[in-house]
Amino acid sequence: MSTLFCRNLQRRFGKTVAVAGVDLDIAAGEMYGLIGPDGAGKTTLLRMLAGVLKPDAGTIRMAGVDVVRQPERVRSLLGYMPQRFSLYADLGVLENLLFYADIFGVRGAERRQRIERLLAFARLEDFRDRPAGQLSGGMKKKLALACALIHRPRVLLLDEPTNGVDPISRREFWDILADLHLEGVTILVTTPYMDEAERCQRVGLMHEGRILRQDTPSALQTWVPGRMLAVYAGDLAAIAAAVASFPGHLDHHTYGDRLHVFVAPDLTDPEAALAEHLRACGLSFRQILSDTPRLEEAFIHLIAHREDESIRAGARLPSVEL
Amino acid sequence: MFIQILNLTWKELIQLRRDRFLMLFLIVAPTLQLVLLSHNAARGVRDLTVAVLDLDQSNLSRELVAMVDNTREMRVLYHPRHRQDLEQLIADGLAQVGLVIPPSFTRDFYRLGPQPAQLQAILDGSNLLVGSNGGRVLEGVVQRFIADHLGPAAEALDLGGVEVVTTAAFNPAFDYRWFTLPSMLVFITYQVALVVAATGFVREKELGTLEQLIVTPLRRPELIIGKALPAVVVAFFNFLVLYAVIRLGYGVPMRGAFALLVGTSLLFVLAVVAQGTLVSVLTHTQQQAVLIVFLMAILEVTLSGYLLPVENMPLVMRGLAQVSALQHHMTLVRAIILRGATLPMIGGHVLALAAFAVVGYAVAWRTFTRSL
Repeated sequence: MSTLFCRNLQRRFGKTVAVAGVDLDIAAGEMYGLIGPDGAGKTTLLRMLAGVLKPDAGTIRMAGVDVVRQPERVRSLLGYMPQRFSLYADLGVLENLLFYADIFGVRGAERRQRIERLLAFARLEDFRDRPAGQLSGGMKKKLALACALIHRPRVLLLDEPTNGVDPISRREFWDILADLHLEGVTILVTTPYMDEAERCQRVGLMHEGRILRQDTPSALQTWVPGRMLAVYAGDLAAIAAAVASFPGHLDHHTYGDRLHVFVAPDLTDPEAALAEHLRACGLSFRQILSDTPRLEEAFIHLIAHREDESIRAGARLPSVEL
Repeated sequence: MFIQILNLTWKELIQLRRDRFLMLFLIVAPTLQLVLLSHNAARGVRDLTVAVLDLDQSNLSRELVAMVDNTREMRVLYHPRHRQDLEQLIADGLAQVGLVIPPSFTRDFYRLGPQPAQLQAILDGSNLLVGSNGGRVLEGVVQRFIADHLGPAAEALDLGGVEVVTTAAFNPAFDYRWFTLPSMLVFITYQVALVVAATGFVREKELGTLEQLIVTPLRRPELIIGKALPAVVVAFFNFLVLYAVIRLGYGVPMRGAFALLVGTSLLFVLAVVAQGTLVSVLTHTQQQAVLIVFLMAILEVTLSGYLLPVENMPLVMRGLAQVSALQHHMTLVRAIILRGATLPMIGGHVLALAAFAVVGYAVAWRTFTRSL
């Protein structure tokens, strides 16, 4: 029996279909990452799972409780952190924690202990009197997480928790999540960052209100057909133009100082063939290496492929021709 | 820069067009305001209820009564037999003007007695408009009465005369502040309660904090009451301070029971906070809430009887005034403070306030579903 379960979950806003039938089975203690472009329906899905928004259709069960019918019964086992900063900006760090502790019925010595632990956990001990509105972006997120954890929830729903946070704070935040994961908390987190999704046990790719695929991060990368070659060169623009005419070329994008080229999987020794092709075009490069596609590439490829299908043949862009 | 301003203006226009509450406010409110105010300003006082104690019982006195009754401003509805009955009619608010015609009226009118004829007018001084207009209208009637009976020469020949002795009941010095201040006390309490309650929920919505509050174990009634209570406390505190000011600072008398005033005021604040909560639950931004509150306040003040006595409103407005908490409470507070009214005398108003409170919370409760 999964801790977080939903079937055929749907919700529309006027004519816009935000969530178009989502099934989820998240096991106890699992850390599940939900990725997808803006407007994919991630926030709407999370709000329904948290019992904040009523679905148009579908069922949700959290630890066996029907969330749609009895949202009150999951309050004590659920921690929810909305995308927007949702604490009281005019209250201090400690005041916010005390407020949530109070409404969750955490009292006395227990309250003091938990708050001290959470303040240490979020490294906010030195800021306990600072108004929440005056914290930095990263500190706000950590405080929001601390408040969501005050009642020791078994399930944690986090909506883009590290959005707009600097890389160091992001790393800190994920270290905290990793600790919670080790403590056995079931976590569902949405993120626009692929490196974060790669820290989850399972990743679901959401697009246009549906979960297109879900798998482990490593399996997800194998969804990209063909092989990926990284071309290191000075003039990437010229290389990119030449690569398009390479037989077996599927797709390419620049990636920092290199060009990632996707080629058909049936080519024998594609590195040598591509090198030959580029030399024939009169271009120089430092080296060509075979590489595994990153989650990001898998993500972009799947979305592009999906949109391509909906456009149907004929209108395809040459760079995604399969 | 100019292009940027235009861009911004265009964006604002698009936003305005999409904001239905704001549109409602921008179109409906000014229209209503204009209609109601212009209507009232043109009307003046009408149909004041008059009780006549005719001790003369002569043709002349009956003619005078008929003349009073034939004015647009006054209706003679009561003919008490005794002075106590007349006073009771005024104390109960049934008659707004009392007219006493002394037994010697006919004799004195034709200068057959030692002194000029006298009429005694008792005006409900707890209502400024009734008081001031009532006296003016009566004097006008008497002027015409003299001209009709004694002719234009009367004055020159000093043949007759009538002296109108005016007494403002409950407000002997006819101090307008006795009327204004209790009304302002009610109005300010109303404003505070409404604004604080109306911005309560919606502020949480706007800041995103309601989203977090909803996933806590707080239940619907707890949320509603928890948000309503601060408004009740603030408004009630306001009321107490203002009451002290008008009592001690302006010397407005307190003829009724303080406990009754406190009890009814608490009921009133509860009813108004219920309305404010409903506004807050229905709106999405504080701006919308404040604009709606503003519209409500204008309507309620117009209906409250502060600008124009309810009895003088056109029928439709008189009907609407019955569902105005402000109107009921203003009437009730003036009755307690200036006329020393007791609970049985103002029972109807108290019941109305209680009904508003109950209905208001029930609707707010239903409207505020936990799912946003």
